[in-house]
Amino acid sequence: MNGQQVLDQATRALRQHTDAGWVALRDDVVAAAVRAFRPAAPIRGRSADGELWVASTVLVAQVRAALDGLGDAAALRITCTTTSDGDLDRLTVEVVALFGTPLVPLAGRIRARAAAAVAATLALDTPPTSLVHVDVSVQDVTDDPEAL
Amino acid sequence: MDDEGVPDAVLARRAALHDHAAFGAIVDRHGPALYRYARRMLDDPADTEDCVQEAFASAWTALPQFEGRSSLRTWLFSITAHKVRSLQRRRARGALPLPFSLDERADPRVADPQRSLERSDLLGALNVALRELPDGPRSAWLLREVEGLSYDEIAHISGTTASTVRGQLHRARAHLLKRMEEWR
Repeated sequence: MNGQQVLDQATRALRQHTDAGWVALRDDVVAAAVRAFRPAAPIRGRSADGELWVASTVLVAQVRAALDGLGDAAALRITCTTTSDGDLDRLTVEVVALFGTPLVPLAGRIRARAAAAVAATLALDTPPTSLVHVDVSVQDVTDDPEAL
Repeated sequence: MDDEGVPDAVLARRAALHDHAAFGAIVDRHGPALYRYARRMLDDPADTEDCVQEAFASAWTALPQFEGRSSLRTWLFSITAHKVRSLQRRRARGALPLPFSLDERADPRVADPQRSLERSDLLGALNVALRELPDGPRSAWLLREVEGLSYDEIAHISGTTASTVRGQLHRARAHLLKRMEEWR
């Protein structure tokens, strides 16, 4: 083997190499990273027992989880706006939909799931869809289910 | 959910919406390469751990703003390379880098001990040769030859131009070829 061949072989070996240090670190990396701060606004929930304040990131996570498994659409972005008192004003759900999906019924399903998730998270006692204003925006369509 | 075949863009979108499992899949997919790069740029296990942890924490925080103008992989390397440069600046001048320990060179996935030893020797020789390179050529070589990034991506990550990257690569290849020729 000449020098170039040795270098090529060493390069291939490095390309396939996983450092033992990484294996030991992996779990710590994930745990530490998800504790890192993401800017979030507090949102007020109300129930008979009193007030409950929830970070907007938590509300977004709950709504995203509620929309998982729609099958014909996926959330691209979820944003919430609040009143000056910290009440949820409206929730906007931007989605990508599978090509050919009827969009009006899809929007209805998204609204219902999102509103239910908001109501459960903020401990709202009244029927959620009348209290929670959910806007649905179809931003994109795809014919690839893997892209959802 | 099995995230193995899920595109990076989808994982990034889910992680931006606070999906911890999707973020875990990103870490599993790209962590080994980011660690490999940082380890050979920093020459120190503790600094490497700090660097990679900080890089992923920054990525988690910034994912809601990630717009996909570059690939997720390039974006993560940009963050990591930035952390590497910060650590290099912070590190006390004159401190000697720690050598790669044997247990880090051995790859436990290789079942044949003889082959594993040869492979470790080869990797060890390459690690030593890499350590002799200045930061710029070393980074360019790792990103191009090991991680397979394009000249433009490397230029973006390094905050330089593609022609500078080309020059750094030329220098790195010549040095490594010479050292591996000697090792042979």
